[in-house]
Amino acid sequence: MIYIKILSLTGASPVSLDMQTVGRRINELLVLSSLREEAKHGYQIALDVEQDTRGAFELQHGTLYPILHRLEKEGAIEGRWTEEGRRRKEYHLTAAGRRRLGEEAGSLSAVFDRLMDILEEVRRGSLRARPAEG
Amino acid sequence: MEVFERVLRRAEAGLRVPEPRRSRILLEMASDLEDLYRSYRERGLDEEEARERAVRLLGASPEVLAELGRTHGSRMAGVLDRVAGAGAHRLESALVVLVAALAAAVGAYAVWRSPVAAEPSPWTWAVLALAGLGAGAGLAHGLALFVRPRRITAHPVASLRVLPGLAMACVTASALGGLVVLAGIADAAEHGRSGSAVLWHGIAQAAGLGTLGLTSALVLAGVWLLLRRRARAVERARAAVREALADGIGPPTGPARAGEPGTSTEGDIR
Repeated sequence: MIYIKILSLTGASPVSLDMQTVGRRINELLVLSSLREEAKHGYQIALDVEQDTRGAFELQHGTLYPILHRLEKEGAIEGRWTEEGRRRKEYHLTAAGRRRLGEEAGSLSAVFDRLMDILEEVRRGSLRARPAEG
Repeated sequence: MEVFERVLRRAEAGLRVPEPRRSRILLEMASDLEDLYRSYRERGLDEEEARERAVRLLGASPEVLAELGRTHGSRMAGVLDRVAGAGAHRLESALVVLVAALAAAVGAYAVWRSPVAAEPSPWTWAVLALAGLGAGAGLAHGLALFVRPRRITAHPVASLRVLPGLAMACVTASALGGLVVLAGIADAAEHGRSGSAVLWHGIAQAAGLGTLGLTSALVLAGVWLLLRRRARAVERARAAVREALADGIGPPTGPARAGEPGTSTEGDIR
């Protein structure tokens, strides 16, 4: 398992994340974001994630379902069964999910901004010139 | 569609989640696969490519199935969840069960204080044996429905009818026993062999027997009421999956929005 330790933007509270958790949180964020405007069925969410990210993310091999069910269990989204023609399940974002979307987007952005800064310094060769942090 | 059926059969075999949630997950996968396939076809993909892409996106891998199992917790958590859910959504059933439990407790106390406990007759043992059979059947059905619903092969609601049947048998046996006791007293009185003490003792014994039968029946009825709801949920969920697998591609329908007609809560297919 690869762990990264990231300082928050204020530099006050370090956050330790493993890459698997980062991946999971990104997937959750993309699913929540897909439901921001309207309720959708699972397959629509999978398609929209692919389209919204211009193919950068694809929820393959049914990865979507654990994400949906976990978010539903945590109250971030709510599933409803519809019966028009045949039974299908659609999901919509709850108020808690909307809050979580904002918080997660901010939190992950901060993590990736920091990472990008470090990578940029690596690229410019100026990383060693800085005093060690954390 | 055969390829989706194979994918769903694989998912069915690998999904370790308590019923009826397991069937609901399979139903969700089935409908999503069909809808995704249609969506790809509408975008101009040929049949094979549409199928392939749908399976690649939504055909659950063993790792995904294992994660779903973890997401939905242990079997015990599932049982507690279902019991709590039943209480929350079916106040009426919960109240009936509560009343039955209270009546059973009062009945058990009355039987314990009656001559039936001190001098059990063959009728007492008959009622207790029937109640014991019912308790065993209830326990077996409870374990099957809550812990191992995948192994149920028979019609769960139909097989539960043994419980009200045994409850009726308890009441009948106790009533017959009470009648025999009363007939014995009447016979003794007719031949001038009984005093008031014997008369009252006999009446108390018949009443105790009747109370024992009713109490046993109430307990079995309460167990039946609780298990029947669960059995119906399992049956409904299974029927929905069977329907989805048998129908293949259903009629095209547009996505409904929450709150529109035709929209139901998850509880509808529990």
